Amino acid sequence: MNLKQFAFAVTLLLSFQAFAADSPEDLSDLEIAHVAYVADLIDIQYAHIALALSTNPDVHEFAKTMIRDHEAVNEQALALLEKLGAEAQDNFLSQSLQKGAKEIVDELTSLRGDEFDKRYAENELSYHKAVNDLVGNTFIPNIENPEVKKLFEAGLEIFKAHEKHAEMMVKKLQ
Amino acid sequence: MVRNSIGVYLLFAVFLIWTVSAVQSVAAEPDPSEHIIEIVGFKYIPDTLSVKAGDTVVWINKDIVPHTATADDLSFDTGELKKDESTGIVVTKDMTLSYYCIYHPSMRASLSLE
Ligand SMILES: [Cu+2]
Repeated sequence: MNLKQFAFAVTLLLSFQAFAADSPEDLSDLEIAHVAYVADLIDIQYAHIALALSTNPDVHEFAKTMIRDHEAVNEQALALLEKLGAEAQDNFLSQSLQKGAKEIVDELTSLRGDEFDKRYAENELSYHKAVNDLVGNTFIPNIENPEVKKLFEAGLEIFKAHEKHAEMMVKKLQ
Repeated sequence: MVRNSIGVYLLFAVFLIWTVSAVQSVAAEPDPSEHIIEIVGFKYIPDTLSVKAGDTVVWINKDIVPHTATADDLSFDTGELKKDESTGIVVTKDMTLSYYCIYHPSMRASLSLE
């Protein structure tokens, strides 16, 4: 974990504590759905930056997979919400994720070449790790609706595969 | 008498057709069969499959995200399979047998020729 990632983790932790009454465990299904939707959009955004700035074919393939998969998951999520007649609800955690992402976007867009590729891959690894931890240990045990839970379980499986893929890419770029 | 001999001829003809077709099906290769490989949870199921030339292998994707089944040397490729989509590929004698998912390279599996 480098300094920036550590700072991000601390920010995330502090924002959890600042909203102690409103911790991730207390989020409703619709708030959890919003967090996941935002988390997907953030990774899609990182991938578009990679397609624009990287010239490495492996990085391009990986980024295209991130866009393809996260879009597919969000499509399923929207379809399920529509079926349930519900709408995802914005919340402190979605906002804190977006804040953290803005910093990463600023950093990524300032880098070029190998430096960019390495940082993108590292961030994909740490980002998927953090999201998988949140989804697996906090969201899934707390989701009430069985259909929403099932979708998150499928999502976790996908993001775990991404985490492994990112790990491979980090190694390859070293 | 006439009617009887027609009956005998008919019987003989039926017998002849039956024998010929029986001999044919013994001589010919067993019928080509169709195999189904499901893609579920980022895995090909089954991940090894015994096939023979002429068989068809159908890959069907049960995951939310798109996958492919692509030969290691790219000599066959299902192309993008979205959720619930499938593609069949006919097995040939000199076909490359190990394959993977272009989108998720850690997904690997293989066929084996009987
Ligand atoms: Cu795949």
